Amino acid sequence: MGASGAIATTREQDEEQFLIQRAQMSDRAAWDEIFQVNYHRVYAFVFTRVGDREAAEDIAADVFVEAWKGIRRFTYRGIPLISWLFQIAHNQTADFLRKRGKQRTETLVDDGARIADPRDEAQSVAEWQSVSAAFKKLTVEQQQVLFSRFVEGLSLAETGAAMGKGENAIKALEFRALKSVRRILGGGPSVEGQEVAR
Amino acid sequence: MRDQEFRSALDECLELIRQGKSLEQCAKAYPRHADRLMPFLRSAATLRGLGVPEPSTTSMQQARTKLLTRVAEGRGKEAAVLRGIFKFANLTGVAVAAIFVAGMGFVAAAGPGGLFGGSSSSHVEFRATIISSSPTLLYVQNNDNSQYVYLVLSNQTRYQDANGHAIGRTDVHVRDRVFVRATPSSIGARFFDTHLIRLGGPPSEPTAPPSHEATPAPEGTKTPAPEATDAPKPTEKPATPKPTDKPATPKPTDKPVSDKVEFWGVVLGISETSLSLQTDMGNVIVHVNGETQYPAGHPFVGVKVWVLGTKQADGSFIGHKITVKTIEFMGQVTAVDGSTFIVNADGYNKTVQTNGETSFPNGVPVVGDTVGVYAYKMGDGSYLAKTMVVKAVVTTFTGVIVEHMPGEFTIKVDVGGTIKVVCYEFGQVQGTLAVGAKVYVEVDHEEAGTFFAGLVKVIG
Repeated sequence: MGASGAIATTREQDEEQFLIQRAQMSDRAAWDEIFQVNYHRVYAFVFTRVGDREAAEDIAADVFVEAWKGIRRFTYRGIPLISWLFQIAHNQTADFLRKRGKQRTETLVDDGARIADPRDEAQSVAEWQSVSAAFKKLTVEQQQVLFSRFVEGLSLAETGAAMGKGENAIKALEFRALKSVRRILGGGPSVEGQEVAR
Repeated sequence: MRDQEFRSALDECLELIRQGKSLEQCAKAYPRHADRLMPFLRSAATLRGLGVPEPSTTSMQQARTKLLTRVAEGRGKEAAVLRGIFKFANLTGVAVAAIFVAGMGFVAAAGPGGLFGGSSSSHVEFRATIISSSPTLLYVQNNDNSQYVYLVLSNQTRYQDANGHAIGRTDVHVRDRVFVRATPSSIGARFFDTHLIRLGGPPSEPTAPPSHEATPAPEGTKTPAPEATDAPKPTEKPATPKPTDKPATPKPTDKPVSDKVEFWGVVLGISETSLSLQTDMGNVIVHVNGETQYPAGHPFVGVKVWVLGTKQADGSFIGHKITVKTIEFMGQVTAVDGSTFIVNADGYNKTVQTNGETSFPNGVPVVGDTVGVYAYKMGDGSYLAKTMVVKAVVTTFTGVIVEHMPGEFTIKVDVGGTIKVVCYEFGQVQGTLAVGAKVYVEVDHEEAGTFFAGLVKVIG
């Protein structure tokens, strides 16, 4: 067993691996810790997609139950648990939006009344619709980068740490993601053909 | 080159947007690229400006309950599966484990008549340092070969201090150096079912720890055998040693000017040979050596301690016994700020700090939880928690069984005319459940109208 190589990890990774091992052994305290540490982030990530507080709360709750169901199949490779939870959240949200189907727009308008935001309600709803439509075009990693950087306000280093990637990789994901969504969220004239090949 | 400039400008502008700067500020800084930058920056600014409302406390609590209920249910089912695995492992696991253990470089002792009193299981012994701790697992580093493994703890695990005296699970802490006796577990390659954890060295070694371990150490380094019960209670006056007491008193280098004295102090600093304390007498130095006793663990900076010592001619003290002040109380969490909890106990708010060594056997408390706290009393009036236990609010009722569905582990209980559905699958059952029997039920939790019982006791 090449332990010395296997142990080339940071203390934080060791701690998280330990937490996951405990979770895999149905340690209640471990699951409580996973929930307490990650619930708000998962909820906010989902909310960014659905723009509806109650739906986001329901989906976020389901994310943790799905995580519980799947933890035995989860192999820790140094990528933080939150990335896996975001992946589950992405799938759960996609299911939710699919089920809404054609009524999605109508529901979003209804849900706008529940958005606790002081700005004009119609403007809010329109923004959430735009964001939801824009995020639909992105991979889960691209979504996570935009969410972490501009909704949560994390630095490149913090986002990289949360995703197990370097800063340059985050910059590349960020660029591609913004390039994909700029016509929905960015407004203004099309600048097709002016982008830089990475 | 122009593209590189653009990317560089974009990266810089996105960072400014993230920090809350306006689009115009960003674009002004790079007029050559403003047209190309704007769609990217507007997208980022739109996301930055979104307001995500806080989830409701109720929904969060419901989500937490939903998750923990699933965990509890799964744990009940897994217990049966694991019992099967262990039976299988008893037959087949030893050879595999032996190969693994040889590769790990542990000392292996096996066979009848071994240290387990005739057990036929292979076991390993090694020295380790505890890296992380949970109620059921310890993550340790083997001091001999630097490998990291997990120690699975159970009711069978024994804990001893360096002198071989029994201690409790809570007396074993992160960063403790321990001697371990364990059997490779069938749970996984790096897991060991742990039989013995002994602070310090193995039983065959001298029981006293090396002298460098006997001096007060920085926070986190624990002494062998901290006996919490020895620590004076906050309202107690520390017991004065009886004349017949004959402690292992250090030999003072200076002539003592008084008999033993006792006093309280707050630790200001620690060196290899002394403690600096703030006391009612002013700041004093307490010299320590290999014979100084620490019945409640080594002190650390900031903690309040009780000292039994002998005053020296130069005004310093020789410390015979230094007891870290600990306290237990119960209360309700009224606020949480990062690692700090405000706990209302008997009408008084207490500030409870936690750190990486604080144990949360039932999970991290949230506002509203009732908690039991076992903590160090700090010099600033706050508490540094060793353990915070969330106390379950137990709902109970008594009634008569009107229907029993053994296959579903469910009974229906008539409680004063109201029929309550009780699932006992994950609880303890005392007595024989039958229609007509009177039962006392302790509810673990309720979900969808079903009461999941922690205990169902037949009382008539």
